[in-house]
Amino acid sequence: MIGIVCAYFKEAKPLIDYFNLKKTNDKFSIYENKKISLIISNQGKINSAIATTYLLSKRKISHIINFGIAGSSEYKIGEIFLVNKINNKYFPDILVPHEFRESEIICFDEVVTSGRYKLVDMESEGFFLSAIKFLKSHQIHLIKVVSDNLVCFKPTDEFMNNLIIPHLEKIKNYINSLEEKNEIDLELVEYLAKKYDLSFSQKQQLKDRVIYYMLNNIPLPKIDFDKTNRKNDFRRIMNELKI
Amino acid sequence: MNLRFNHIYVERRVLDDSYVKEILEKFPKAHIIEINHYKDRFNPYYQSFRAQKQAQSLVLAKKEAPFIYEASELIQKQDKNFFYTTPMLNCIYDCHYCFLQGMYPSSNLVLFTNFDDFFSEVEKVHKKLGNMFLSISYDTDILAVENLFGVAKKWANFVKDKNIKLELRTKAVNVDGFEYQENLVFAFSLSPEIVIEKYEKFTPKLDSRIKVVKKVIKKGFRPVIVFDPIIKLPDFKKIYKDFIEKVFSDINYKDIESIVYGTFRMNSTQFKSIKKELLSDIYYYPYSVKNGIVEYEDKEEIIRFIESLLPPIKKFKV
Repeated sequence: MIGIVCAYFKEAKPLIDYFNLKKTNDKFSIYENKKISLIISNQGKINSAIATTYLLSKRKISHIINFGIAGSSEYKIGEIFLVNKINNKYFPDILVPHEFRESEIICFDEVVTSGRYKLVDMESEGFFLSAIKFLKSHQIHLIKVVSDNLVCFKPTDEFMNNLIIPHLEKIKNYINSLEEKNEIDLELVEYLAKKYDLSFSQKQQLKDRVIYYMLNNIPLPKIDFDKTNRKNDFRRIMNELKI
Repeated sequence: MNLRFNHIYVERRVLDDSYVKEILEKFPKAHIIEINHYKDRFNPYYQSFRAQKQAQSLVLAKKEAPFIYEASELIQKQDKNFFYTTPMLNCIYDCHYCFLQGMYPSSNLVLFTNFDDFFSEVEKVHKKLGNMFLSISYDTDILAVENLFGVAKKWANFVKDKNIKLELRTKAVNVDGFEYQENLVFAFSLSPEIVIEKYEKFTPKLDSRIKVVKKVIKKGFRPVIVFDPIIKLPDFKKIYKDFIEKVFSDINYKDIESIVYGTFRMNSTQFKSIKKELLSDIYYYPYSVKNGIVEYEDKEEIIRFIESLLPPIKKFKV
C-alpha cells in the first residue's frame, strides 16, 4: 500500500477526490482505497511524525509520501517539486524516473516570512525522521507544491484546488512507478514445517534449500511421506532436496 | 532507462576543484546536490544497498587519512608489502559474491578527488619500505569507470619510475589509454559465461574480457588471470572444464604472468548481512563455517579439480 501524509485537509481534498478515497474509522482522519491510505496530520513536525508513525504502524505501507504545500523565495507559485534533501542532512533516495523538478527543502518550527529559501515547510523533517524508523530512504518521498513566496496567508479551497489539481496526473504516474516488493512464495516450507513439526532451525535450513532450488529453477520434488519423528523426517526431507 | 549518476552529491569543500568541475561537466542532466561531508550521504543506516544499485548516485568527496591499508588475508596477496588504497568506495558492477555487497550501508559510488593526498602518503610508505605492491581496485573495479574518471591513469603516471607495482584488478575492458609500463599489473577476473550472467551484473561478457586480455598482451604486458571466486553451480565440473579450456585455447598461457584461483569464501558476519538484502542462490548453498569464514565443505576437492585443468605456469591459490 502507498501511504500519503498531508498536513491539512485542504491539501488532501483534491487527492481524496481524484483517487476516490473513503474515510475510515481510525483515531486519525484517514482516507483510503485498496492501494492508497492518506492521513491528515495537522501542522508541524511533531504532528507530522505522529501521524506518519500511526499510519506506518497500522497499515502495510511499502512507500510513503509527504504531500503538501511549501513556501519559496525562488520558485513560482504552483510549481511542483520532488524533494532530494531536507535540512542539509537527510536525503530521500530518488531511484525512479519522474516528471517533477527536484529541490531541497528546509523545515522550520514556525511560519517563515523572510530570507532566501528554495522551499520551506513545517513538516518534512518530522515526517522523514518518523518514516526512517519503518522504511528505507528510497521508500520515502516528499512532493511539495509552492503555495506562496514566504507570506503568511490562509488559502481558500478554490486556491488549493487550482494549485494541486493540475499536478494530479503526475502524482498518479509517480505513485504507479513505485514498485511493491515481490516476496518469494514459501508455501511449501510452511506446509512441510507444519506437517512434520519442524524446529525453528530445521525450518530455516529447509527454507534456504527451497530458495536455492527456486533460484536455480530446479523442480521441487513432491515430498509426502508418513510422519515418524522430527529428526528422521527432517533428514528425509533434506535428502529429497539434495544439492 | 539508465538512471546511474542521475544524482551527484558534492562536498562543498571540493566544489571548486578543477577535476570536480570536469566530472560535473560530463553529466549535464544530473541533479547536483551540495553536501557537507560524504558520510552524511553515505553512512545513514536507513538506506537500501540493493535498491540504490538500480540507480546508483555519485558522491564526490575529499578523503581523510588513512590513505592506504595493509591487505586482508582473504584477498589474493601475491607479494610482500601488499597494500591497497581506496580512491573509490563501491563499484558500478553488481557481483553477488563480492564482499562489497555487505560492506557499506550505501551502494552509491564515492569518488575521492584529492589525489595528491593519496600520492604523498604512498610516497612516504614507499620511501620507508623501498618497494610496494599496491592495489587500487580492491574496494572497486576502477577500470570500469576509467572512461569517465581517469583515476587508474593518474595512478599509473604516479608510479612510473618508482619501485611500486600497481595492480589493476578488473572485469572491465577499458585499457586503451594504457601503454606498456613495467610496474603496471593487469589482473583480469574471468568467469564462465553462466556465472557472469547470474552473478556479475553489469559486467562485460567473457568474450569481451578475453579479447582485452589479448589486447594487453599485444601491448607487451604479462597479465594475471584470476579465477576467483569459483562458484559451485549445479553441473560446475562441466561448466568450469569448458570454461578453462576456452580461456586457454584463446589465450596462450605462456603470455600470462600467473593464475590466481580460489573458491567462494566470505566472512560469516558479512555473509549474513548480505543474505538479508540480496536474493541470490549463492547465499542459500549449505556451506560450512570455519573460524568465522563461510566456505564450501568440499573446497579442497573443488580446488584439486580446478588445478587439474590449469596450464603449467605460476599459480597462487587463495
